[in-house]
Amino acid sequence: MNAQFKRGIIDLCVFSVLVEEDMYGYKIIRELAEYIDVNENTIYPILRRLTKEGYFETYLEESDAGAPRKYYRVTKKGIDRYMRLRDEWDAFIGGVYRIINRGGKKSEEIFRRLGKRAEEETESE
Amino acid sequence: MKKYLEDLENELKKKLKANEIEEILADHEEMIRTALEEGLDEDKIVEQFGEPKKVAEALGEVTDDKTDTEDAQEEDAKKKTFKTLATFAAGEEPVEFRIELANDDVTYKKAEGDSLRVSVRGNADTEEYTLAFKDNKFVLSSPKKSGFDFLSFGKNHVDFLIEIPAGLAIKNFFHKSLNGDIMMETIKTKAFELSTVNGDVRLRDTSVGEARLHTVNGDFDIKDLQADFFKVSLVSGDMRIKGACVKEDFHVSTVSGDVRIEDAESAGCILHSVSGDIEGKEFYPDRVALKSVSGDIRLQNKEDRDIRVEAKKTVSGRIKIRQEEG
Repeated sequence: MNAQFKRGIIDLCVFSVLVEEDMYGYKIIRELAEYIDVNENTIYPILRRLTKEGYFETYLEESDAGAPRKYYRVTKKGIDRYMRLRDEWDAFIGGVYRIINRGGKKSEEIFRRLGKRAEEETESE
Repeated sequence: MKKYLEDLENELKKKLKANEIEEILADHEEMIRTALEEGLDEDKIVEQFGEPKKVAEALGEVTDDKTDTEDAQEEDAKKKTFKTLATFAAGEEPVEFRIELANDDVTYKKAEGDSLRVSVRGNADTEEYTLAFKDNKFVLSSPKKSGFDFLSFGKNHVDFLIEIPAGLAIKNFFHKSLNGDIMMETIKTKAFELSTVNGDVRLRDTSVGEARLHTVNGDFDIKDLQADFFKVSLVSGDMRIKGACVKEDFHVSTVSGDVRIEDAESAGCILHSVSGDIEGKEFYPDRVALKSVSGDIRLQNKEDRDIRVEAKKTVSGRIKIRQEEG
């Protein structure tokens, strides 16, 4: 996948998790890793970059386990960024969705036809 | 964990400054400790957190970008002044404007001289933009994006200044923008169509024939407007109009945006709202049709002029037309 495209999507995912609540680094990564194939080495640099760019701020908070943890919080600038990313994404994915579902009900027929063609081609091989 | 952090430190030293290294190491210590507490096997640290060398490489990139961040670019853009990109000789014939932009802001102003001038500000890479003025048609549009770079903002943001000579007759003005803001001053046109998704719109001293405005999240701020026909639709953006004279219908529909109309006159007036509030002050249409679901509509005037109510309907909002006492 195009690196820039992927980066934009992962940024959006990190934002989406953090606009819900403030979280510490490891938790953010786990939340994302539950759904998409990412790990510490993908997410940590993103957290660092977005913090540097002023979209996140950090603060320390004591944990039950003892040592304090660094929490990330979305700034006002980050919220604006998130809204924009979100809008762009919605517009894009909405468009993609409309394209791939263009046939509407007809698409069932298209699938049938394609399936049949695939069968025929396997048979003739 | 100790071994991993030591290896990481050695790799980071090749790429980064001491204060950054310290912070990164502290973050990793915290993350690894949490991971171990949650049951990660000590042997799996490298597997989960990545080879120290790769981690350092990924972080090196973040730092290298530093001089090139959007912040720095925005700062630069602010410092720079407008530079002329193109000038076009304006003819006698009425012209058509067609502007379609994604993230770029545009300011329209009255030109000092006789020519139509387009200027840009910021780290503008305008090579891929379409900019032309021929056959009495002015066109400006941002490049159609190819590939998947649509999620990268900031890099492609241009500030345009378009100066239009006062003598130039405009028959059709069309501006469509996604995130870009639009500012207009002293513009006169026959047909006027403006639409944005998130961009804000500011109109000052505008004289139009038939105007149609639409926004999803952008806000409209309008002052001193003259129109034959005026129709605005808002989704969640707000609108404020102060000083308007509309010969025929003044039509506003909003979903959740709030609308405020002040010092205005019109023949017909149709106001529709789902949940946004509409407030009129010194607003004197000859006749009104009001409809809302849960939004309030209120007209409050000092002068006692006749306003014929043609329709008035609401589900749970309040609709009030009244003359101020005293």
